[in-house]
Amino acid sequence: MTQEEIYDLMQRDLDHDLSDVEKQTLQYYLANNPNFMLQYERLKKVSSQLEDLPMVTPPFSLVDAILPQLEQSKRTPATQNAPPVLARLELKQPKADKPKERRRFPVWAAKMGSGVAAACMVVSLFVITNQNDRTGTTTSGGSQGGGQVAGTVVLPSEELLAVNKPDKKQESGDNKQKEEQETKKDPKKDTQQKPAHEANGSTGSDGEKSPAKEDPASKPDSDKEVAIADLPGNKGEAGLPTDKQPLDILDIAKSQKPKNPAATNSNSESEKMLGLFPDQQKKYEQLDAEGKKKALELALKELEKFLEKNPNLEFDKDQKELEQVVEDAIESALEEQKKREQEIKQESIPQQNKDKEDNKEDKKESEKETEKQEIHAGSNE
Amino acid sequence: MNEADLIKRAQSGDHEALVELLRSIENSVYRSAFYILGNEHDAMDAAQEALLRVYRKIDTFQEKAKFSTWVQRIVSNICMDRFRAKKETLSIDEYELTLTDKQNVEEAILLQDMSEDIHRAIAKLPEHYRTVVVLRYLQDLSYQEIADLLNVPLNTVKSYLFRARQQLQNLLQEYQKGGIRG
Repeated sequence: MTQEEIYDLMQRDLDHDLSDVEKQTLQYYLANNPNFMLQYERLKKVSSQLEDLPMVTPPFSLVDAILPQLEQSKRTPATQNAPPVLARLELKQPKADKPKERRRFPVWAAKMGSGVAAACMVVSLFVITNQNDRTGTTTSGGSQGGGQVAGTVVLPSEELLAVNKPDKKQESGDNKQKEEQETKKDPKKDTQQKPAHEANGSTGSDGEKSPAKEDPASKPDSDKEVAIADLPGNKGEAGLPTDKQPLDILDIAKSQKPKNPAATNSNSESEKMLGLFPDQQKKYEQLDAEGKKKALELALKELEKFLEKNPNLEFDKDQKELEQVVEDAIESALEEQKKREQEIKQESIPQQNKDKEDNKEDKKESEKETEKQEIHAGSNE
Repeated sequence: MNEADLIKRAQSGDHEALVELLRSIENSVYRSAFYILGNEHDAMDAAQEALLRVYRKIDTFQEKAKFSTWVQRIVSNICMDRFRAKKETLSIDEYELTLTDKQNVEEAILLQDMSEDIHRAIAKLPEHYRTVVVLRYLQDLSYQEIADLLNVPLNTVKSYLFRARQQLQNLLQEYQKGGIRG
């Protein structure tokens, strides 16, 4: 038997928890080992001291001390039971029920409301995007503070007079209806636009719709349109396109999508485009009429390709690349123009020589004729 | 009137029976609190709290358990709660207050001819050991009753008790040699 087991027997013996056999075993080990006996005696002494602990009593009766509290709770049972009674009051139950009813209704209403709100958002987004597609290169009030509502720009009447003069013949029925609706909505707009329509003899749109989109081949008055970037406040830093510009570029590219771009009047589009890239305007002005036309065609083709690759133009990097495309187109047109000029020069040199010879021959003939005339005159005399 | 009748009457709403029942247990409640907590002041508070709890919870007592065991469970729980609270909010002021109470305890021990050494040794035991010793020696509960009361296994109770006695023995030996005091 191990020492721990003997100690365990000692402890259990103190608690009178040993059987007769276990007691005999313990006695055997205690008798043979004086250390065990000493330990056992010490433990027994501790145990006897614990058993003899004095029965301490409180200095005064605890029940008497708490009796006032007990009496109070006995006399006023209603106060003890008050919380449950109050909880059972009928007046409180409706209050407790009310939040449940409120909770049910708001949850249902909130679901419906959120659905309706989401639907409204979708519809409004759809309308706005449609408007943006249809507005094309809208004009802007710029620093003069033209109001901007839902993607469209309303210009002051003077600007409208100067900017948009669409042909009445080109107006479609849909446009008229839309215009009528808009004028109903905004009488001020109507009053501003009326002089412009009367002056031009047209019921043209208020600038929301680009004439180029309707019929790119027929835009006689579009030359007078003002590009957004030409107006103050719309130029980006360092001549870079502003946030609005990519949209305008897209619209220009869309307006030039018709299969025969050569048929379009390139002046207005070039002005628009170069208005977006003021740095390229000087180079463009160096071109002659044919060069400008070619530069515009080339630029628009490249623009279409570029915009197919980068439809959003979200980053400045894209916008720089876009400007680079226009610059390349103008430079290539310039080179072509130079070549043409050189060819013309080369062709003109032999002609000049011929002309000179012809002139000489003519002079000789004229001299001969004068001589003949003089001779005739002398003979007559 | 025996304890069972008093309990029944108290449970049926007899206030007098309930007060009588409380008087029958107040000394044992105070004794346990005194030896577990180690001072008179805390023992008085804990004992009063235990009696009030018995008064309020008498309806919940079931005859399956011994009434004394049920009461001792309430006392030991209150004492344990006070131990925890004291650990969390122990400060210098409370230390001083405890020392004054200690003097009162010592006076009480001297008055009742109690061994100072064993009392000091008990106060040095860990809380769980002390509780088991008190329940075993002062309330005369069996291992199983202590295990049920404290919600610990039987062997744990034995272990606590054996170690407590061993520690007490060592402490008393040192006191006799004139070693550790206080």
